[in-house]
Amino acid sequence: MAWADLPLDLVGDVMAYLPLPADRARFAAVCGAWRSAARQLAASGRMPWILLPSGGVCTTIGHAAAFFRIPGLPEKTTCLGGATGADAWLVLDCTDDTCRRTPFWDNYCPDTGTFKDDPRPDVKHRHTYLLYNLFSNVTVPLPELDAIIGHVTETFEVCKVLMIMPPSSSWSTPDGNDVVIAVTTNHCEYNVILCRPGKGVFVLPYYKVIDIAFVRDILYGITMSEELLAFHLGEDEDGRPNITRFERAINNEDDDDDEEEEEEEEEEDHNESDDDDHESDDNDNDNDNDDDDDDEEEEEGISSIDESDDDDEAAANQAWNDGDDDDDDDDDDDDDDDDDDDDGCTVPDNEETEGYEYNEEPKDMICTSRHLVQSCSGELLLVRHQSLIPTDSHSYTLKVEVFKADLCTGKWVCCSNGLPKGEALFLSRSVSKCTRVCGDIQEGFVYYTSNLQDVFDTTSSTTHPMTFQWPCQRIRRESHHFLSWFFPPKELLV
Amino acid sequence: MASEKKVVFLRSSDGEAFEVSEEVISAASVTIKGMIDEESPSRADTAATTTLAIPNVTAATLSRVLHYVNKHFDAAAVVGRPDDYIFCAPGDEHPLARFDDDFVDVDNDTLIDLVHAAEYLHIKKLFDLTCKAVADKLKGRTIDQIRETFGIVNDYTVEEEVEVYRENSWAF
Repeated sequence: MAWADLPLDLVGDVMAYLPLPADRARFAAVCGAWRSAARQLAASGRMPWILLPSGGVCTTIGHAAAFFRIPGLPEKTTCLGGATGADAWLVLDCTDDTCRRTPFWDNYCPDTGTFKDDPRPDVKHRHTYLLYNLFSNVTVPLPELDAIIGHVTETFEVCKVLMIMPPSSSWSTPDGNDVVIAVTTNHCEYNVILCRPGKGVFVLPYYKVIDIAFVRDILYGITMSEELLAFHLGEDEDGRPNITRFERAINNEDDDDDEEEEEEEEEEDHNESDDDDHESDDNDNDNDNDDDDDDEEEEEGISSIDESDDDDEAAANQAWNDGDDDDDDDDDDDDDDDDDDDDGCTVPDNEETEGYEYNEEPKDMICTSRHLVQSCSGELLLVRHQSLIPTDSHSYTLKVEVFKADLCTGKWVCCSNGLPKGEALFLSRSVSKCTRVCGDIQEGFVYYTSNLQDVFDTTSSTTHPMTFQWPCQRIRRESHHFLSWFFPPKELLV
Repeated sequence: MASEKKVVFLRSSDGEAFEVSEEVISAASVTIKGMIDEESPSRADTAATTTLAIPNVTAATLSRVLHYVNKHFDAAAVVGRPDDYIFCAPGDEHPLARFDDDFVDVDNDTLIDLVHAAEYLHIKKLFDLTCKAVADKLKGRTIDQIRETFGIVNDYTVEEEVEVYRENSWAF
């Protein structure tokens, strides 16, 4: 039998085991038969990859799924996710802190029913952050980020990393100089960090942002109370990032009229706000103080936090307290309830809430997560995802609500028909993305890494079994909290 | 001696018959399980053992496949996480990992025969293993090396060649 005559599904299965873009591209270029088979596969559409914090990846092609550790990653690396917006880049954290990259069940001790290494709030590790390009193997160190969050406790988490590039630069640009990176963390002092490799950083004041999205040169953020904040990006004469203008694009607390005034006030009263992002320093003893100078001097142009935030904080904390109750009873863990632990654990009181909210009912728990995503057609969407976590079985999706930002009226508009036409949505904590429908990916469907068993159809408000059979047994060993979607760039589709 | 285990005979395309435990081969091969299930009503009343024709697989390949099957699917021999190990991280050693490595350390003709046999017999684990082995032979190789390894002729026209190069220049 000739190798050139590999059947189509076999080509797909072989490619599932080729994680490196260059290997795939060469494979598909060998001869006409392999090329057309690879193209046929690409045209049939496929699910994105799932990135594991250990630097592993679960790929799919055809109907095969395969696991790898991405070759060439530096030692002792935790993969924080793909930098959304520039899909060939991974964000890596080189550290001795193994909490995040240890597969969830490898950390579980069945004999005692407890977890061997829970993140400790009083133990710090060094972290070195870098960007890694899957195509070129180029790494871009981020010393600016190391200076700020390079020595943090085990409970500290980077939640999301976004990348924005000027339209002129291409995906393979090896130098990160044209790139602005936005990082959100679970720490109130470093809620959102802007970073330009080689230029500098800027820490946004604490607005309790739980998710962010770039739309051109505006960084949008949402809060627990579903406010939409808009940060207009700029840079100073040395190229360091900063914020030139800030507005509350959607303010759920006040009436529209007040909002206008408030914005104007805010623009005038900068420089009076130096202390705002240190408001919680008192109970916050786990960070170095040597960065404070930076924060203060770079804070121009940012408005003060108004009183309404105090209410938010109370609400957010309340939500967490509900969740914390559940976190403590590790002893009744078994193979069936991995979700509630991994979503609910490791949130000390003084850290940011990341948008997860737990309401405890007599038996079951409802977990609400909020995500900010830009649709393919350019609209800014707030997605409210609710899972039910029964005490005795797997969690499943309860409902997903989609709201569209109406920036003219300053309101969220409920999208009763679900996602915009022809689009599907992939949600994960560190990467969320709307995609066009094709192949297995169906219109209006919301795929969430925390619920890989089911998928929610927003057009009919119903749940379906997941269309692609993820190897759940294997993935379940990981902490769902840290799984993220990864969208191989279209160049990879051959 | 509770050796009341049923056996079946598999006859290869070149006429050689191989004996294998029915239980083991049924667990391994969806295709053969289907054949056995079809046969079973007529088999119940006779003590004769069944012989199944495997027209697409040669004796050389079939004997390799059965060697694999006996290692992996004989419950007495299997330990650990049998379904999981292929996805384990390097260093996450499985008892059969070494066996598997050696098993697919074969020449390309043998390998493609194994791929096709695994596909025809529907032995998922073996199929995954062989696809992975093929992929390993492709990793890090240039296009010319791949063509040489697998004996594939460059069948592009000049125009196609230019186009392929243009699309993939970053990877070459």
